[in-house]
Amino acid sequence: MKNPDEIIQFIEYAAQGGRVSVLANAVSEKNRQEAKALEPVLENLFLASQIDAPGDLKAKIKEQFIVNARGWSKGRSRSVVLFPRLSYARKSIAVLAALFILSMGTAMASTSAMPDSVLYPLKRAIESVSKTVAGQQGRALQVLAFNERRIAEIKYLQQTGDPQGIGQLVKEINLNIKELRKLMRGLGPEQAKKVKSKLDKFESGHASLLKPERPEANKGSGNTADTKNVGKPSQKPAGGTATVNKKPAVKPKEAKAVTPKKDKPNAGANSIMKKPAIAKPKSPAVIKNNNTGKPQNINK
Amino acid sequence: MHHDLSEIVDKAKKGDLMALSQLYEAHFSSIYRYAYAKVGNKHDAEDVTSNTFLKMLDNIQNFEWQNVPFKAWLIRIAHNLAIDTFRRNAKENIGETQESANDIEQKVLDKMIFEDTISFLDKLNENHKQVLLLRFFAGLSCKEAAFFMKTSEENIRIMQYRALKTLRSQIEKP
Repeated sequence: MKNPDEIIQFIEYAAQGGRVSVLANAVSEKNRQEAKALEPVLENLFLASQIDAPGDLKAKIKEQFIVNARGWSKGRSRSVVLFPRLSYARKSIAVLAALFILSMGTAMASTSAMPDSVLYPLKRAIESVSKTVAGQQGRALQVLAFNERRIAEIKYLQQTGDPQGIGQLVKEINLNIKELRKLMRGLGPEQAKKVKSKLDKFESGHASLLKPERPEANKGSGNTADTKNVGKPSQKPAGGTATVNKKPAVKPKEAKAVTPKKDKPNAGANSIMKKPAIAKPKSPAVIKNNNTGKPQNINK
Repeated sequence: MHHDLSEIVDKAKKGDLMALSQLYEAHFSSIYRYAYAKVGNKHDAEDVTSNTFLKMLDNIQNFEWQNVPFKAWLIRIAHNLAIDTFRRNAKENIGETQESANDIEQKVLDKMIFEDTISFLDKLNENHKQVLLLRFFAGLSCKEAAFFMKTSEENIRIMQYRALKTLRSQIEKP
C-alpha cells in the first residue's frame, strides 16, 4: 500500500492541471464533491504510474547506451562540425555541391596545363576518358583538338628546351593522325570530308613543326606528315607516304608493269612495254622484190 | 533546473559521456513507464526504452533550445517507437499481458492495478488517453504536454479534466 501522503501529493500535482486545481481548492459544495469523486481515479493513476522496470533492466540498457555513446562521441570528435545549424541533409548537399564545383574547376584548369605542370596527368586522363565515351565523328574531332594541344605543348617545350619531350609529342601526333585516317574510313562522306579538311589544314599549318630536319626527310612525297625520322637516325629509306613507308621504292614500278593489259594502242611515254617488231610473213611477190636491196616496209 | 538541464544537454551534444549518462538517469523511468503504458508489455517496453536512448544519440545534434522542452522531445521519440511496435505486435499484446500477470517476481497487486488502469485508459478517446499518459506516466508538465500535442496549455487542462471524468465513469460502471 502506497504512502497516503504520496497519494495526496500526487493528487495535488494532478490538480495543477487547471480545473482540477479549482476543484481541489473548491469554494462551492458541488465543486468539492466533484474533486472528491475524482480522487479514486487519480489514486489509481498514481499507483499505475509508479510501475518500475526490473532492477537489472536499467543497468543493462545503460551499459548498452554508454557503449554506443562512446563510439558516437569518438566519431563526433574526429569530424569538424561545419555549419552546426544546418541539418544533416543540407550539410550533405552542401558538401557534395562544393566537391562538384571543385572538381569541375580543377578539370577546367587542367585543360591548359603544360607537360611540367602537376595537372598535366589529369589533363591527359580527361582526354582519354572523353575519347572513350565519344562517338566516331566526335572522337575524330577530339583527336584533332588534342593534336592542337600537343602543338601548343611542343611550342612550350621549345621555349623550355626539352627535345626529348618534343620528340615524344611529335610521335604522338603522328600516331593520332594514323588513328584519324582509320576513323575517317568509318565515317559518312560528309563527315569524312569535314574531318579531312580539318586534318589537311592542321598538317599544312604545322608542317614546319612536324617536318623532320634531317635531309632524308620525305621529298617528293605527297604527304608531309612523315615525321617518324625526326629526332632519330633514319634506318629506312625515306620515300612514299607515311602509311606506305614499309614498301620499298621498287614496288610501284613492278605494279605498273603488271597492270596494262587492254589499253595497248596508246601506252604513252611511260609505257615500258614496246610492241615487238613482228615480221609479217611476206607474200611471194614481196619476197621477190626484196632481192633489189631496197628496205622493205614490213610493219603495215 | 531548466538552466541545469540545458547545460547538461549542451554538453551532451558535444559528446560529454557524463552528461549523456545524466540524461539517461534523469529520464529512464519516465520513458519506461510511458513505453510500458503505450505498448502494454514489458518486453516491447524494454526495446522501446533502449531504442529511445539510442535515437537520442543520433538526433541530439539537431535538438535546439527554442522553447522546446527536452523531456517532451524525448517522449516524442519514445512515442513514435511505441506506435511502430504497437502496430507490429497488436495481436500479441493481450496474450503477453496475461502471461506476465502470472509472473511471481512481479508485485501482483501493483501489476493488476496497472493492467486495469491501462485497460480503462484504452476505452478513452485517443486525445484523452494521450493526455493522461503524458501527464501521469511520462510526468510531463502541462506546458510540455501542450508542446507534445501541439496545442495550448489551457486545452491540455480541459482535456485532462474531461479524461479523468470519463475514466471515473468507466471505473464505476458495473
